[in-house]
Amino acid sequence: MSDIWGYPYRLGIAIFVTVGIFGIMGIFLGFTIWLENSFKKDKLKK
Amino acid sequence: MADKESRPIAVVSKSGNSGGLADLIKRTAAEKIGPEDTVLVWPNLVYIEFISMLAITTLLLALAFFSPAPLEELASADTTPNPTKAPWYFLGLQELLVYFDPWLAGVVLPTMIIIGLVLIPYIDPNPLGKGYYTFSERKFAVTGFIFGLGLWYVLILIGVEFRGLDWSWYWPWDDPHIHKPAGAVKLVDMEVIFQNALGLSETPIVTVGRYAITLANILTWALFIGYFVVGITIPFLFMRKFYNRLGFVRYNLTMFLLLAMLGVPLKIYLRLLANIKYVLVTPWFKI
Repeated sequence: MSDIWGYPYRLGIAIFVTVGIFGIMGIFLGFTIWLENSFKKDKLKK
Repeated sequence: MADKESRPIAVVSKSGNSGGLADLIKRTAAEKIGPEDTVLVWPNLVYIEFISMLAITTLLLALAFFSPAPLEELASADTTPNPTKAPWYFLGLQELLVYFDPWLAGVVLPTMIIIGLVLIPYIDPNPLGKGYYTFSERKFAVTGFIFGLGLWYVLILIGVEFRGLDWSWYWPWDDPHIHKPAGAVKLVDMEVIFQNALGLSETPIVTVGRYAITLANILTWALFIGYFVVGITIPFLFMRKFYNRLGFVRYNLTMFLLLAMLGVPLKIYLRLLANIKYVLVTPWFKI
């Protein structure tokens, strides 16, 4: 079996795809939650 | 005596119902809030919009300054660039071509994405979040959408930053001018794996036109259909409330689209980690 870390970087790409998807999800979900909380604290809202 | 014109159209009773035609229309959350809880468009909204416009303009100017996109020489059939990259917003699709049949990556998956997005308002009966911003009341919908967004952005990022000569993968520390060796990994179809692992015969059981159906081929069909059947059945058994809320048609559509979306990274992992070229092979299409 060929070296899974070597070219064509199969494991590296798989890890990159996973971390990338969940990383981007984390950024967007974080922003979503922050936005919801900041609307709750909105001074204009009674 | 009041004449006909000066009489109010509807009188609001203590319960808030006018008894008029407007009562027949279901009110959204925003409409239920009285005028005392609302803010003015000018200056409250226009001010924020103006600041947003300035911020976006600054961002675009900075992008144009630091990431120039000059016109290149006229295209020539004699000197095609290597790699030939699509515009960045299509690079997600181009990256999918590495892992999927062109028919699937270029036609079926984009069509499913568009149809899925068009269907969202019809398959999502959750009325919460109308007229106000919420994540906590729509966790499933928002997370599902953001997963698709994350997947798409990663594919675009890979296409833009990590694909070099011959569409090979180049890490930032790799020399982008040196070609990578071709055919470093031998890919096999799931059918062949079944044949070898279970010692199944390559002789077809039945032949339909060009399609020679072997036992291993039937197993790959079972695996493919089983993925959707199991994926649709498990939430039905254990999350009955979710099913009841959506109903039969909406539930099946939602789960089918969700499983198809999850199937994309799954197929990518199968290709990368198990060297599987296609899960299902027929003379007309390969998945």
